[in-house]
Amino acid sequence: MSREALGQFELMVLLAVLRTGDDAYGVPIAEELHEATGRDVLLGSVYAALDRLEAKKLLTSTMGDPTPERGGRAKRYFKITPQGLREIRAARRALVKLWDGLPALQKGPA
Amino acid sequence: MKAACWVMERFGVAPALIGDILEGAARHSIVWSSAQVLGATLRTVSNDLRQHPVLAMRAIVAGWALYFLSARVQPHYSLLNPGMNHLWLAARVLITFRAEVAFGMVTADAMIGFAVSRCHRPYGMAAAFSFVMTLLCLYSWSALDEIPRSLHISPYNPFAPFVVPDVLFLSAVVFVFVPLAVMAGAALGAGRPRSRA
Repeated sequence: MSREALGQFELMVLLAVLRTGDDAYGVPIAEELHEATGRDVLLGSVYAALDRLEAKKLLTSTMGDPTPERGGRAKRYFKITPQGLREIRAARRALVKLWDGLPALQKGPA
Repeated sequence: MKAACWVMERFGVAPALIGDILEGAARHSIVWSSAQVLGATLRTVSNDLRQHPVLAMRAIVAGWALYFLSARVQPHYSLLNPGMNHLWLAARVLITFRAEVAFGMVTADAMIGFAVSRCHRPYGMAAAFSFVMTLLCLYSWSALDEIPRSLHISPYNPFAPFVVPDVLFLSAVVFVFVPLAVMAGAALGAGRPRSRA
């Protein structure tokens, strides 16, 4: 893992981008997060996390075409970089390591 | 949503984010849309202020300089103070007089907002917002001292119970109308900032 560790929300956003695939822009990413957490997320917060992840070079973004239902504004599509994938795997390994062998977390609902 | 888009554009919210909010608003409630607009706007302002602290400081200094200048130009400023020297005025005259003074204050503040925002483009709205925050801090601080003093019955202030409407009026002016006026003036001064993302 890099020296600057991923925050929980950043990790969730990265995973949501990965799950959304080629259609990863603000709305589907926020919906993916809403389905996972059961809570509404602010698009502004999602964009802030996406901007941070792009600055860390874990994501790249490209602009799409403007559409009328968006008031003529283009979509901004996000894609995970190989470095982003490495970070997700590293975060998973670290979490699983910490998870393993804890009796309190072995039973009961997730 | 047109008004919300107009406001977000003035604050420099990224066009892609505005588009996402518009797209989501078609499928969600007005509460969801309002929360998204507020969240996006505040997030943009806080980002701008974090990235440009010197600009924010300059806006605060410029705003206060203009504020004191406008206070010098408006000699009736202090007459809005409850329980002070306007108690002798007849009720009808007083209402008209207060409305005029309030209008003068609000107009002057809108002009301050316009000037601060104009001088700090493309971060005009964030700059005006930082000035408004300091203005509200000062008003809150002085209200802590002024309002209890105005309501306290003493030989110097025998009409204290009648001062309550004055206090409410003054609070509405300084905590609602003045900040709104500064930000409205700033929105006009900011224009439509160039796309930043």
